[in-house]
Amino acid sequence: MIKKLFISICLLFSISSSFALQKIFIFHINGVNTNQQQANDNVTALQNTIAAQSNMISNNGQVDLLYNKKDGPGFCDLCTQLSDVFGQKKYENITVDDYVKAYMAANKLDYKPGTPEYIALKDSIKAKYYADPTFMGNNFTDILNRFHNKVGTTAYLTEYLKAASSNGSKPFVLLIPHSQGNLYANSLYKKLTAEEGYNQSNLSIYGIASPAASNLGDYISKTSYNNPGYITSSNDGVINGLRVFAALPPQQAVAAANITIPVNAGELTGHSLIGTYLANPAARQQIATNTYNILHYFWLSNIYSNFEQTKTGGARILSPGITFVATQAGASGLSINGLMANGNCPNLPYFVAKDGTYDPEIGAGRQCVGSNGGTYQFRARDYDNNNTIRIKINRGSITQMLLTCRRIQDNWFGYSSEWQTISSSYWGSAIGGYNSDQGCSKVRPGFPTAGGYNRSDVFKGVVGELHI
Amino acid sequence: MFKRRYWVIIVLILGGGAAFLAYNSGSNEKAVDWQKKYPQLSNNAGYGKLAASVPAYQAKTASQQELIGKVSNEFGIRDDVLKLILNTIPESNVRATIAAIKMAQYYQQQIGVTDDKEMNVISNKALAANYCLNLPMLEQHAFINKYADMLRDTPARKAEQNRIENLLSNHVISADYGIQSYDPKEQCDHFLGVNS
Repeated sequence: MIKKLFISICLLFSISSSFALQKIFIFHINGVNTNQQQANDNVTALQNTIAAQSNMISNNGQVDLLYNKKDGPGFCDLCTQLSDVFGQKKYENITVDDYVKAYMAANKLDYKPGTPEYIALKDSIKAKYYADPTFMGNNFTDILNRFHNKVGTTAYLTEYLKAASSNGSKPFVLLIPHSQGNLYANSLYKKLTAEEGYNQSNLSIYGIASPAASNLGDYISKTSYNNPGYITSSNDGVINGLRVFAALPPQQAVAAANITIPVNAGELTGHSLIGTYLANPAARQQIATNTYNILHYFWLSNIYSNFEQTKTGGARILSPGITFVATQAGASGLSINGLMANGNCPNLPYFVAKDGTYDPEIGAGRQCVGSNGGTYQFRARDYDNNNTIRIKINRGSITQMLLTCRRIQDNWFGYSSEWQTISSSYWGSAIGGYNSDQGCSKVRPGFPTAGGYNRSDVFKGVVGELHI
Repeated sequence: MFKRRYWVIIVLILGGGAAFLAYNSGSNEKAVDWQKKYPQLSNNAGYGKLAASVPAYQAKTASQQELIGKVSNEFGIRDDVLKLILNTIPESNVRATIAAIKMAQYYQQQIGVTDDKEMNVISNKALAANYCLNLPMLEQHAFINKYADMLRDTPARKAEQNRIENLLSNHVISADYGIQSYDPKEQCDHFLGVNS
């Protein structure tokens, strides 16, 4: 039985230009014939679905909308969008290289792939490929611009993240498309991975009611969670209708259905995001769990990459104090609220290091204190002369962790005790998510304080549960 | 004695008069006291801010007002939309009622707006209001569908909604609560102006 560990870490950080936790973006892309009001409601429903599973939403911000607008003449928006879908399906598997080859054939050119001439030609015309609505869909450029408008800006970046971004680090992006949005999500994936430095570990797609032949952004789902990365009902009338056309070459196939959702009287197409997929408890749970898993993967990557940075000495976690709290759930091993009642600490596979060298002895020597669960706390000896503490958590050793960060009240600094103590009840509220977002660094001007703890935007993404 | 045709004329005149009176009677619905009709609105902290939270209906041009439709309530939203809201959301759920009115205010505010950035800001707030509505999912879904249909219930209104959606090109729609908090309730309390 897989052992579940729940670990909470409270880190009190001071400003460091090299410590970078990337932001996690969550976008919904709606399907055809969806007006602004309905698309917004989709976003709300998705947000509530994910939030019901975990505190990832409240800790990471909202689900945003890459609106797939109804693009067509007023008398028949739907006709235009359906035509768009068929076009996207027809050319779904056309790559930039296919495009280049077609261009060469039309222009009587014969460059071999990989040659300087071929590469130069490809570079010169690939922008046309990505802008060609025949291949990418009528709204692709608009959706891409929307994406850049949100993610491409540095407005959201803290000074931590600016440093990371300047080194080419990318934020994490989860796309949750519905229906035609899946085709656009795949097109975005092609563009962002080929041209903009994203990869399968920081850009992921979880598709709903997908007409696509495959989900290009399924790496995390498939490799880490044994999940196909999409959900399509066998009773989805719209997708089933598309399968009929997909059977006719050169249309591309449609990925197989992987759930059966009974058609309900209120939504006879079996295709609606809210009326079918989110209304069905089993489907809703799958959507919640599978998007949650992807977000957790991002979290882990975020934290782990930073701990790895400490190993190389490239980054330091500066802090006048740090508390590492570890809890293991009760008998079920599943409850995130289950602090160990016996005071025993789980055998944490972590290490604390000084001066860039990991020392298992120090980690193994940590005490578990308190009577309300596995609370690990670092002592002054864990810090080097620069008040730096380095932590490494072994991937694969911990199945789940909760990481949070809060600023300890200033007057706590006056403690003469070597230990920084946080009560279990305090952590109880932290696990619930409501108070778990207290900042650890800069005080946002004018930002309200709660319970005497100043909040910060720096660690907006640090609070949450992690699967390792 | 009158001939039959005169009777017809008289009936038509009387009928026209009755229709005129009925029309005026309809206009007198301006006098409907929405507060008395729906007292839950006036008894909540968020109520006072609701009427003043977005530019008033009166700020719209005459043609825009005509496009919007009849408005006789203090929130400046279409009367039939307000009726939909009040008939759909239970009287006890004042918070959702306020959110729905606010949402309708923002969507109505979009009418006539020609600046894409301004439109995006309004759309962000409409999304926030939608989120704060917080009705049971399927009830909210049904409500939003009805409401969206009402916004497009004439060719002119539909054309305006298409124009609005096209103007939103290149922008992400992202809930803007006017407060950076990670607590949804806190966000909505602030956004709705309620303290519950």
